[in-house]
Amino acid sequence: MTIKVFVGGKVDFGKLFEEALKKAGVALQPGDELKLKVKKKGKQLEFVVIKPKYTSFADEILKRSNKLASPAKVYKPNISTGARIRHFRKEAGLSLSALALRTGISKGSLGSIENESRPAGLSILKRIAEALEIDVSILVD
Amino acid sequence: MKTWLVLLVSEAEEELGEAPLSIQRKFDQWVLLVQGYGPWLKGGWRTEALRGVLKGFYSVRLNQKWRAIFEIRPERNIVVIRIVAHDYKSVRRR
Repeated sequence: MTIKVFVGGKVDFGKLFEEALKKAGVALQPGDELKLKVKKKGKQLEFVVIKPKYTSFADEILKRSNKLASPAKVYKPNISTGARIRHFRKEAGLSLSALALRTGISKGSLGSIENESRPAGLSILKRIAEALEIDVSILVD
Repeated sequence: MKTWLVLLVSEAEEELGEAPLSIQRKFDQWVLLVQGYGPWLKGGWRTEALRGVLKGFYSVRLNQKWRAIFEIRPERNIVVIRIVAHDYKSVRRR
């Protein structure tokens, strides 16, 4: 926001600025920055009020939370099925052999499913999901 | 087995689009785990309940700088409200 003031003679910048703010009806917030530009020719002063990028971290969060009636979309992560299985397996702290033992699927097959060199059928995915204690729908891309 | 649903407000979606690719991937990983196990994850995921004015909100650290701020709603719904980088300069300025 820019406030322009015309002056002549000696100037008390503090007073001048206060009056200009009152006239413009601007309320300064903590964190706002001011820049003063002086144009000699037209005897014109410009006060520029710069609002900080994050006016208030908390205010923004509360505002968004309150107007949540506005569309909030279901987020679907962009991760392939194989990567999902590997991700959950590692999170559960299981090795390929441990998961193979739990599911009854060979270690090699599990490895190729994770690397997506072989597609996994629904029955296999169900067995893996049971072993990882998650819903099978999460594993499906 | 019931799954958790992760929702994103439109502003947070924009923020995610502008975030670095590494953060987008990390966020995807977090969402995947939350869908399966809920918001209280073990391991290196730092899920923190916020205090003060933001009581009732939670944050998870995606890396040292970036964090996602979310709210836990009824029926296993998680609403991500902000994905934001901590701006040390602005904090110091005040």
